[in-house]
Amino acid sequence: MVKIEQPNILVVEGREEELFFEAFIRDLSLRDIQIMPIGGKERLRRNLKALKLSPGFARVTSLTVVRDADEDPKAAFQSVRDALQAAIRTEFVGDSGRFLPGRAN
Amino acid sequence: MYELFEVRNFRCFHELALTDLERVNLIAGVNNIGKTALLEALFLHCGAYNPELALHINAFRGIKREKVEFTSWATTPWDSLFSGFDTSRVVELVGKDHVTGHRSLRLKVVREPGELAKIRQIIQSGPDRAEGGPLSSEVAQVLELESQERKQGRPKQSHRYYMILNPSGLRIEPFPPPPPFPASFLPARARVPVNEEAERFSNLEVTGRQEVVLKALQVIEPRLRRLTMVVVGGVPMLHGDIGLGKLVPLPVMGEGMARLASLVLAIGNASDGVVLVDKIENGLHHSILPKVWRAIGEVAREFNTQVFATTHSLECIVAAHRAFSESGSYDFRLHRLERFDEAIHVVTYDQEALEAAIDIGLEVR
Repeated sequence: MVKIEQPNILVVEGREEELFFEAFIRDLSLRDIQIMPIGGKERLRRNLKALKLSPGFARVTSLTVVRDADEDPKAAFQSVRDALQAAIRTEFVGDSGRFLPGRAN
Repeated sequence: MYELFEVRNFRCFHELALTDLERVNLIAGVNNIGKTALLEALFLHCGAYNPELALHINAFRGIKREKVEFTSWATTPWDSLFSGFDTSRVVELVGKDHVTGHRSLRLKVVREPGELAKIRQIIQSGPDRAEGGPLSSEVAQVLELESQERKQGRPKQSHRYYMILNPSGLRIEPFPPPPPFPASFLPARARVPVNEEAERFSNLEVTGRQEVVLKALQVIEPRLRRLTMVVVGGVPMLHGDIGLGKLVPLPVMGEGMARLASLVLAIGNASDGVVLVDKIENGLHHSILPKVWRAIGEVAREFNTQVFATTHSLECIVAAHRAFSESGSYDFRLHRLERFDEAIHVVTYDQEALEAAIDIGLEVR
């Protein structure tokens, strides 16, 4: 059972990404970051919606989504934006990937 | 059937709004978050006009009054209903249901001498003239229940009822009308008395609907062929025929059978009403939970009963989700109570969100 335990969440697709970012974060000596594999990009919107409802999500201060760019990085980025907007209802600034602090509800 | 329900200043809640209600509603959350309190609030609201239910819900928790002091500074048996035990607040319960429309219920402790005098006048001028005698904070504790109903296209109606506790006992003035729809509360601890179960079964027999109980219980005991009432020691008790050549009392068949029978009988006896169940998984093995939920869904639909139940069990939540997903009509919601921003909030999962959370193993309780 996956529980939210850190204020910074890094959403990844699967186990490989989880292992990679675990090592990466350890190497950078970063703390307060929780890696959460929540499945493939096809179900990102649905799964982010479930994540938003999880106990403790109200205390999350930042949420990062990592996914494969495939052949079209722009479209991939747009799909992550769309999923975040639909599921979390946050607002974005430009195309840099930064977004404004959002509320859990 | 409730569409929405709001609670203010009741027990641990300052303000709570429950929306997106379905036929079957499962309430999860950590200990001391208010799951039982939410059921109690609903029970009071279902009772609509009867302030005595405030004492009943305390009794469900095992709180019984032994001694009451009658001074203006003394604590009352209903102090714990008010958030922070602050009896200067007003408890407000607001609901919208299909029977009475938009209805609010307000509870407040009456202590001011002027208000007590007014109540005395109201009581004595009413059709059920009560006996005289003093009504002051020195000799009586008074809880006021104000019920307001607003149906579409009709003027708002308001009625007040009083629970008066004085040295000679408890009385309700004026005598409250029956509730607008049936409701029953199955507490986590106490079992429904056997004679009450017998009466509920008889009520179903009268209308020829007792087969519903048999069908539901066969989920746990496929050998069960027949259910019947047998009087044992002057007490009617539900018995089952499982082919042993002798009828077996239902409680002897096991806690799961007794629990499921209580659930189905309560739902079948609350047609067009509400059943509130605290810790619904009690006595039920996890392997039968999907079948139990299927049975609950079917009976609730047949009798048009709305169910609110609490749970701590993930297996119970997953079983409910699976059962309602397979039923063809997902008339189910999971609501979790959660504390953040220094208040208790409700987080509601629809079918898609709950499916996703279960799929990826996210905590939902």
